[in-house]
Amino acid sequence: MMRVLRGWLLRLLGVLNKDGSEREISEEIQSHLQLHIDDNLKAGIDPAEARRRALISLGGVEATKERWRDQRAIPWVESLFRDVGYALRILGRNKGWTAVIVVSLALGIGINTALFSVIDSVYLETLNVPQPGRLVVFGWSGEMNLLGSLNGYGYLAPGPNGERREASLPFAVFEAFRASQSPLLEEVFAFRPARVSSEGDNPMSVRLVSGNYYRALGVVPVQGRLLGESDDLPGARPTAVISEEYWDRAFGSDPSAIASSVVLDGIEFEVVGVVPKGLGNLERPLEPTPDVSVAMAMDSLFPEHQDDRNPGVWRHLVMGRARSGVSPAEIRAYFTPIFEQAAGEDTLRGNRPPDDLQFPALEVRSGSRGVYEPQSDLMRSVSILSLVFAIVLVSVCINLANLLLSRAEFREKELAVRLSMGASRYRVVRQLLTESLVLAALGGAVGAILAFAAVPFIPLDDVRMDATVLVFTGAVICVCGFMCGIAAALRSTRLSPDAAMKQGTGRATRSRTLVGKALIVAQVALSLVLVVGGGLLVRTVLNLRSEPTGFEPDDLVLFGVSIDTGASPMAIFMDPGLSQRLHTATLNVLTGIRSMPGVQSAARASQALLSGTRGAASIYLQGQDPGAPASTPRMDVSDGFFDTLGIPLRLGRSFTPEDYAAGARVAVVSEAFARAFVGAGREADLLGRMFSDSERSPPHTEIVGIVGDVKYSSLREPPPPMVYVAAGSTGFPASNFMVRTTQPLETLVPELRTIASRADPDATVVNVQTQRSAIANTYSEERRMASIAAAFGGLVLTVSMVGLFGLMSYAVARRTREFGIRMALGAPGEAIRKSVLRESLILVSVGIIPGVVAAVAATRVIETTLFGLGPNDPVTILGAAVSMLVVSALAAYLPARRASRVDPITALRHE
Amino acid sequence: MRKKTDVWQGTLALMILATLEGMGPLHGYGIARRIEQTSGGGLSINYGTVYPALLKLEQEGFIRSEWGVSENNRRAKYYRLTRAGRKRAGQAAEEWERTTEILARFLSRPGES
Repeated sequence: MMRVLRGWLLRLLGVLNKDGSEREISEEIQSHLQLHIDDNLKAGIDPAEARRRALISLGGVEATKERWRDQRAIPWVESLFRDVGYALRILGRNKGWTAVIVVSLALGIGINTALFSVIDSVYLETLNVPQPGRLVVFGWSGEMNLLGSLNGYGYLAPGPNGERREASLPFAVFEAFRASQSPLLEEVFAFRPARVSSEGDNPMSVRLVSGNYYRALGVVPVQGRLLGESDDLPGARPTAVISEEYWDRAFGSDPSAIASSVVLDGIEFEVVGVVPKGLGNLERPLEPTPDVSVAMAMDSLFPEHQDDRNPGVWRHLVMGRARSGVSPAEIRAYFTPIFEQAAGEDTLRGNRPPDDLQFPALEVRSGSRGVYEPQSDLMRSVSILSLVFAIVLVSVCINLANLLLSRAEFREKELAVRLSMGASRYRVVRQLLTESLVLAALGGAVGAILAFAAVPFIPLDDVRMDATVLVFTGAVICVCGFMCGIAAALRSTRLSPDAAMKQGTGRATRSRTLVGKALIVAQVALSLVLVVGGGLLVRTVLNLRSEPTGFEPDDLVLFGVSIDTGASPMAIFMDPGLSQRLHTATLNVLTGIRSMPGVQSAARASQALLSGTRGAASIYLQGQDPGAPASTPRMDVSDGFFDTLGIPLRLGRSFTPEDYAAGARVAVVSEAFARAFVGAGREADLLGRMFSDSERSPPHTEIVGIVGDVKYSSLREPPPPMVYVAAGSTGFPASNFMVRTTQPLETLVPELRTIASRADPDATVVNVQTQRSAIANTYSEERRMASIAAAFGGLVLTVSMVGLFGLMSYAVARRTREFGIRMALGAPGEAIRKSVLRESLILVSVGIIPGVVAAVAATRVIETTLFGLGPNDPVTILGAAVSMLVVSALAAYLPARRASRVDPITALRHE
Repeated sequence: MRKKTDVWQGTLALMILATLEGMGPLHGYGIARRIEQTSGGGLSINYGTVYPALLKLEQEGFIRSEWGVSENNRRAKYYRLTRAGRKRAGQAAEEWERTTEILARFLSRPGES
């Protein structure tokens, strides 16, 4: 067997070393004849006869060589080499055309590979655990205004009827689920990101996980052991597992990391094991594995998590591993009564009146791609990107078919000659196929380079280029395109050869040009869809960027100060000394910032606006209308807050230093608050009214002023009713600050650090960012979609313009004679140029009409992503159409100019 | 008149191996000549057909070739068996004997045995 293989291998290599072995066999045959002649002479035969006999018994020199050659190499491989050589010569003779084909192929293959890789790695990735398909995620959906009081996080995109959906559940529900011992699930487990402070410059990402978390996922430790049920008992020793990435980063992958410790909120946790790399984040599979995970029971050790298990706190992400064959719907049916029982009335405290408020419904979804997987804005992104993918693919196929079609005409005569000289159709088809393959290989190679080169420019992390996709898109494009080209070429060879040869330039080409034109029209239509889509998304981002926020976001810097006292909030509350320390530190930070050079003003608040944080509180207003909201966003702010942010005062007064000095319980509300609670035009009624945050306590805070509306958590949502309460400082160890300054962050940050550490030795500055970048983060998905759609729209536009250029160049070449005659008859070059340009523009305009129709239909996919304009925005559609015309005029200009420069004499001689 | 038997590929290779085994290194002409002689004129063979067969054997590593000088001072390409070739020749001969023995039993005329 090996011998046979070796033989074939040598034969394959024989294709390469042709000349050397050719000489060898000639010499060998010569020597053979010589030996034979010598023998014949010895036998007494005369020289001429001796030579004749030797030749006869050899069986002919050429015949022998031929048989020997067949054995030396593989005949069809050799003829393939010949075909490839011929194809390269043909392609080389038409460099421009070849370049156009290779470029459009490369763009098609490259773009689509890059695009599909984006879809694949961002949106189709599953969790890296055994059998991820059996994981399920619990969540709930309900009315919008449940939101505030539930005090949760983990927002999912709204459901089909605009209902609020969230992934986070109260701890009581998790416990009830676990206690139910449902036969449908192997495990129910819970987790949540933890907010703890850690030592060192780079804060660790920390997560709280239930004891069965790793067992349910089926993860095997790299080192040591993973957390188990025994770590998740009340009073258990503080233990932690670290991620392989963190193990590498912080310990240099040293095994002695096991049994060392990490310090979280001042508490030592013994490291017991290492979680393997690539487990990822259960919320979003592409995000890195949290650095440190500790058992859920440890939440009582962290100040930020003291109230995690309280009623009304819906902050646990709950997942399960289903037994095989169990559907999410069955699980949902089983757990709904348990959920309703456990979530219960007391969990929903603060929602009043409960009668007209629907209890939230339990939702169960597949968890194979993490908690946020089927979030509809991601799925929307997938559908948008898939649409873009399809359009690009079809468009490139059309383009290629068109270019090859126009090419086929030029080949007609050559093919006719070859057929008439006795070439079989099979041989001709093979030659054409070879040419196509050579083109495909060239285009594919350039495309692959393009795809890999494009990776750094994709505005996403961790995009993997997939070779399968590369081959797939390449194959689809080549098969579509080349089949068309070959079909066209063969159609011409069906004519009798002499008819084809006589044909010259003209005749029978009309239908082909018509097909070419139809293809261009289709391509223009497709490109327009992408250009319109890209335009809408880009304008959405521009609209979001210029959307008024109600305050002055420029020259505003946000940062937080976290003071690690090592005590829990309850301990701080109980310890007046500690409270006083935090209070003083906060005030000192504020004073310090205000005295910094270049700082115009500064303020402190419980949250920053449009920065991803939100908070809400129940509100009970004196003499309130029954229809008023139950809860509103509420911010505790320092003096100077409204001035620093530039929020205008509408009525009444703002907070004064005296309010703070006296500890007065005063509040300022927004105009939206006034509209929601007393109705528009009756704002003045609110001044002097009192409210409280609990039904049980009497109203204690007085409304003293009304300020302008601000966007609170999202640019898309209308300004909510806001309550601002005067609070110089709270007893909480973390505060948010806003600074109005023109200084760049780099100079600001070191100064802020100095001020913070001077105010309190345990204070650290965290999360410094400009208000602008905080706002930009609230619409990062829109920005991502816009940049992808715009980039790919531009590329598809380029590809179709290359197609138009190819078609018009071909049309002009075909009509050289006609132009020559017209010029000879006195037509000015100008007129000819115009007629060619006009023809292309008419073609493009014809394509624009179905393009607009298709765009109107297709852009509905992105309707919910858009902001400040509808999917059928006339300005965008008109703009896209006009830019299409302008670009196509550019593409057609070169052929048109060539047409106008035809020399009548040469043209008339031309065939 | 009895027809001369045509040589088919596989057998030719076998004959070449056997010839080289018996005669030692030999050039293409010598091999062809020897095969013709050995067959006692029973085989019609174009001398040229040995060359593709030699090439195939060489590609499969059963023989090796090098240029040398013949007894009458002519340059010629000599072929010699490799170790694998010698083994193959032995094997082939055995197989052939077994095959012919079996075939002979089938083809032997009734009454002769």
